[in-house]
Amino acid sequence: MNAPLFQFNRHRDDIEREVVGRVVDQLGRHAGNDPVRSYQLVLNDAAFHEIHRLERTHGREAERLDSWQRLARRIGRMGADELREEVQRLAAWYVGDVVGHFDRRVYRFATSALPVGLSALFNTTDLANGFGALRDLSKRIQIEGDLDLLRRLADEGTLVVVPTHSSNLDSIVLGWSLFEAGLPPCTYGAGKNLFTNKMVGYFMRNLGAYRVDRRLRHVLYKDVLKTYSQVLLERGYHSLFFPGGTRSRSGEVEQKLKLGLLGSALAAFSERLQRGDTRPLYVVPVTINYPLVLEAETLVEDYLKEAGQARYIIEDDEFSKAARVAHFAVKVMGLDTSMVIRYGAPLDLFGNRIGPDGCSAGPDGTRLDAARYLTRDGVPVADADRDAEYTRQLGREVARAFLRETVLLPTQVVGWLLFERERRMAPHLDLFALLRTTSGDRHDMAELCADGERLLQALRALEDAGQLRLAPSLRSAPVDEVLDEAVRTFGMYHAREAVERTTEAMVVRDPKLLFFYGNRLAAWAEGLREVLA
Amino acid sequence: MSVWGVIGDGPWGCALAARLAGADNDVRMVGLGKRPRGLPKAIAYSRDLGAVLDGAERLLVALPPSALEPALADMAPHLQGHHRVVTTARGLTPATHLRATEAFRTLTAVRQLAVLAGAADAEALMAQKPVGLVVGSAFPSWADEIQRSLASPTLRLYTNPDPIGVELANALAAVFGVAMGAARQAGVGPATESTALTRALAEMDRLVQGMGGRPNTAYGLAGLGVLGEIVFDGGGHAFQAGLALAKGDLDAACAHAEVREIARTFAARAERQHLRAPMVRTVDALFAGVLDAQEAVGALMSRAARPE
Repeated sequence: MNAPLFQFNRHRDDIEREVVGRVVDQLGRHAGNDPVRSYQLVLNDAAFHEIHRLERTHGREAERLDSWQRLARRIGRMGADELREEVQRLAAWYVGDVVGHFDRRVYRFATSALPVGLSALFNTTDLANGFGALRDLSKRIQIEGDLDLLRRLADEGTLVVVPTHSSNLDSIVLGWSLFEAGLPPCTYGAGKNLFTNKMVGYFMRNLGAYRVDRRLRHVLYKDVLKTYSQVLLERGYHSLFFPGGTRSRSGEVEQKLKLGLLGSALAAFSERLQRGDTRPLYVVPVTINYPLVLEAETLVEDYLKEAGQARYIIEDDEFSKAARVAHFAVKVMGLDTSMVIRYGAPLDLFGNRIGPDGCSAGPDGTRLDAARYLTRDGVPVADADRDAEYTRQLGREVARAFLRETVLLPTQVVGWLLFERERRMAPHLDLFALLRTTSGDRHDMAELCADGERLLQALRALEDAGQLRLAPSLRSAPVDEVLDEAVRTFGMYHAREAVERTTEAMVVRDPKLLFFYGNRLAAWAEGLREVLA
Repeated sequence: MSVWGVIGDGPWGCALAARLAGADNDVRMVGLGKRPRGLPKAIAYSRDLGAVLDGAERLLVALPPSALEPALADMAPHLQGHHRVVTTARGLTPATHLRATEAFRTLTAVRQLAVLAGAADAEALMAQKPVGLVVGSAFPSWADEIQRSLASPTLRLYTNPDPIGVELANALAAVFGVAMGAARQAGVGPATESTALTRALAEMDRLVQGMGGRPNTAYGLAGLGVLGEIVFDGGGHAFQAGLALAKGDLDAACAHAEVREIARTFAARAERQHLRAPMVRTVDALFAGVLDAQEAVGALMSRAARPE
């Protein structure tokens, strides 16, 4: 297995030096060819943002306010060398804070302990049978996709894994799925707030995760992050990042993607080519499909509270409570419905499919040389505007892949069906009024089944057309069983049940949860509404 | 000297190839038949599509939408990432209702795409009359290169970063030109023609945005510019088709097949995308013989009242 991360520690100092050197050089050109003015701008920007932030912060961090204020006062009097040294000092400090670590012993332990641990939570009898426990986890988390091809690509080039993002558990279950699928571990940037959980932080720190402090908004820090991820990609480290940027607050499949790290992948490819290194980079869209989302209640509350302007970092959600995570794990392991991690068809950096031979292929199957996208008259040409547009196009391709590879599950389909029926019954109500007033509404089973049958037929047609994927039960089970499965699943975990089934009706109990889970179908909602009309 | 491949030997292909050759480029044209008369000698002419595509990375594709998809099937095996394409096609493909650059993006590996549009005809270009065109492309360096390669004292070229909007507005102008011709023939008078013009522009802007373009591109050279030319000229296909439709002469109207096809394909795409397009649908219905001119005016005037 080509897993550069196994050798990370040996190269760590060298990587840090390269990142700091590049950041200092890049920032020296921040304001054209005037390094003094460039460094002054960069330092002023950093000082301004940090002072603004630290003035509103308490505790140990606030102690750094004084040093930033002193720096801000000195910048105008600093000479060229002093300015450069200060930028270098700060860059080195930030790189040290960001940079990850990889401990192979921790990796071995984590990959063997995680399945047993999770399975043990589910069923203590499995403790006596470790292999049984492993099998059990494989049943609860299904891994789909052309894994043979991905294993070959991991040997020939560098994987850039880009998953959807619903939960802070994503990186953990995805990390396990990489191991289970025989794929190499990936390095990834994780919010610094996640490292506050000591146990999770220990594993993340030793499994190649690097720390991203989303509170830092200044150019210097952003450049450190971008350069670090690019250097890792250039050196062939398989990488993972969530292009949605943050967990989907609404429950929808992300369609507005942040392109920064996709841009870094293209920059890394370009840099490699200039060094004569023709190894390709492969973008692998992945969908993580949960029948239940650990943080569903918090996420939807946040979405509604901010009316779409969600808090970027949530520090007090379900993930921060160890008991809640354990409770969730127990419940998920007991579900009839498996969660599905689906690895989509890999793409090159220009949105082309990768053929079975590992080469880029045009829509007609023509074998493509990806390097030629960066040439003009046979010579590689740097063109930042061109590359930015390539990256925007790739982002759109990844967003389309997210939809194609989404695996819909009964909770999501039934959530959408019930909430859509509520919308139809009260078309004059806006979303917030609907959420306030529909708890307790009864849906007659006969009518619900008739609508459900039409919805399932429409979804099956969409699956046949390659527009989405369905969990096995949605493909073949009668609508009545689908409804039952969803009700059972909802009832397994959430503090307040989302829906209750009586003999003759389904009763809405928590419309917010139905809204959240149903939003997974938002991309197809327009067509589906016509089916129900 | 840059090498350019020109695909299509119709009037637009010949006029633009001549401009490129005049700007000291190595121009290689591909056509299906004989070398067009009057084509400057400096332009190489062949029927070997593969050889031209293999030798030129700058491509000017001057094919109508109806010919595009079959041509792309032939071109795709020869196209790689370094190819850069500018198209002049006005309208949507007949079966799939794709814009020309959308068809390229879907059926080939080319990414650096541009569209050339505006209020000029091939005859004026060939005769070196002063004209203005717009290059729409999301790739600024490619748009600049086209601008540099074609611009001359008699051809003023603008760039626009919204290729989708430029492409759509350029084609939609023809549909609204039909409506303006029909209004003229129906004798509704200047005030009502002005109202129709403003509503046409509002609908063009709405459709451009609904189909992925940017606000206000409709009011540029490719949209308002082309529609203005149609109305001021009064002799073009779109306006003449409108006159014929208002007279009830369906055969004469449908003789302007390109315009009829643009109306049909846009009406279909607007319906598929659930976009409000009353004028486009009315023009399509006129061509289809479903409505006559009086009924069309009645249908447009009796719609629900809306804010402007």
